[in-house]
Amino acid sequence: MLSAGNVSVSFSGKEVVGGFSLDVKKGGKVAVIGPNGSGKSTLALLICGAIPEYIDADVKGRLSAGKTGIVLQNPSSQFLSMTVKEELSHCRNRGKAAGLLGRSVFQLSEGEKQKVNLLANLEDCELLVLDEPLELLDPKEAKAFLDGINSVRGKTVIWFDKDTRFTKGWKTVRLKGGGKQPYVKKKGLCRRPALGKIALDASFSVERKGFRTGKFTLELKEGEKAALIGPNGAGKTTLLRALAGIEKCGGEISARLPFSYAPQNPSHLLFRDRVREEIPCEANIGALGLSEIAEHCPSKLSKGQQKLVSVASIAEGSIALLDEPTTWLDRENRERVYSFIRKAEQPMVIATHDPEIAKLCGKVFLVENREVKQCSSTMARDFFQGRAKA
Amino acid sequence: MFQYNGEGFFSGSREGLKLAYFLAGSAAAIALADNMLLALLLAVSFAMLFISGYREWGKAAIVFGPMLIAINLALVFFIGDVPGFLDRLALSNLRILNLVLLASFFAYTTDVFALCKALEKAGVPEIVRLPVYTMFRFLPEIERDVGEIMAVQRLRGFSPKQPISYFKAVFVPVLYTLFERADGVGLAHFLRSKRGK
Repeated sequence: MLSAGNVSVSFSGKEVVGGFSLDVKKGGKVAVIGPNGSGKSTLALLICGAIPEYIDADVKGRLSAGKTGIVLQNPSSQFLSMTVKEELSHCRNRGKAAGLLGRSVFQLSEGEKQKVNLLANLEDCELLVLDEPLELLDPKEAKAFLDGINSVRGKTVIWFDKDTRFTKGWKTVRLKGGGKQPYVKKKGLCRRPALGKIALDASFSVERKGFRTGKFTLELKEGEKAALIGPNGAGKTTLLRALAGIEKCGGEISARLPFSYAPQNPSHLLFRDRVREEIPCEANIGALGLSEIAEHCPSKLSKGQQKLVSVASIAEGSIALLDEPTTWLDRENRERVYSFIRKAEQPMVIATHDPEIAKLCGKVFLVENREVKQCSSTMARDFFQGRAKA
Repeated sequence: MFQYNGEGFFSGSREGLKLAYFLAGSAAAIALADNMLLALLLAVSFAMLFISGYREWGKAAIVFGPMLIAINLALVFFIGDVPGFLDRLALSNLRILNLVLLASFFAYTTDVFALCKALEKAGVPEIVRLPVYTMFRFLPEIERDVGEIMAVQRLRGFSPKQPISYFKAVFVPVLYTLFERADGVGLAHFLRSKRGK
């Protein structure tokens, strides 16, 4: 079904993938695992034919693949129609999305969009390529998508990801590369910062056309961290934006320190010529392992590296608002971010789907069903295992 | 600005009438040469937009204000010494404002789904419809991106009071995000055509 022998891909003379070989029979399920910058997306696009036909590249080696469907990382960019009905108009098994057929794309959650993408791409394909499909999904939606993939029969599935947490039991192929120094965990150096004066005292809710969050009450001391967890579309980012003053809200927010905000999409932040210029605090460069790329242009970095730069760009002595700081990061880079958060002396409010970050935070709030409630570790664990009530 | 759920007054109904009003109003704004009549038309256009529920006047001023200033400066530069210049300047401004308000009314009250269906019904070829459709599909996401970029950069200390640095801080990420989106859309179209659907 897929046969690749010593495949290499170069862009403008720079080799991105080298010596990749893989043979998969019909019905086989294979996970291709690699760190940031190892060429996973390039390989996915190569297998489905977009490289070199749509994206110009120098490809060497032998590659043959059956009729391919692909599900990309960002469900929004692949969803071209404005209604689910139109998107699945050609699809014989659109009945599986019966509950979604009457809805427009603007009413769908990321997980629902990804489900529609999966249905649209499964039709008539022999080989299904998944390029980190769960990256932007909450745990419950990720679990539903995973169940959908596990129920696929008779098709070859190749799953590109950074680690094997979603593909346990699958045949695994590991990609080398990424070209960065491995992260070495320094035991005993990480300490929890001492809690100081109250830095933030807020009690507010956000209400706008067709959307409302519950009342969010938060008191945060210096050095203290709070996590916002919850399903996609529940309002975590909206609450962060309201704290930052970007979103109008009803209630009171009194902050002793200024805010700095790292949005989910790092491209919204970076505009300077060098990474170093984007980062106001020199110590953040070393803490997040950015020394090697400090002189590079941010727009030429991979999404994962840009994400690290955006986290590093938060100002010292401010209340840091981080929106999904570990999205697009591989295990090593995630460890860097965990360590950075653990050591930070400044207060932080973090919207996340990452259970490790919730563990680092003294307060965890579950944003769900128009309610914001402080939750226990059991509730948080249930949420991350996809067991939270809808 | 664009309606995707038909919640506003005039939204999602009588698209043909609204299109006729937009076209007739635009033709009148271009053809009329009397400042009083143009001012009357402007008042009507403003009232229609107000009744439809549009209230984001500040945002509109930020978008169209600099454009209007640039046009006026160009007019002063090119025809500043022509007799009756002030009358001509008022005429140009009234025309532009009329066109802006009429277009805003049409955009704000028109249900995009209905517009796309209307284009299909009118027999507009797919090669024309598809870019229009794709533009409407991604407009709200681009609008959201631009809003977030402006807000994030203001938080980082870039304010419109220092226009050059603010412009750079906003323009570069907007451009980069637009290219990213365009890349994604192009790739999605390619993959779909590859699947033959």
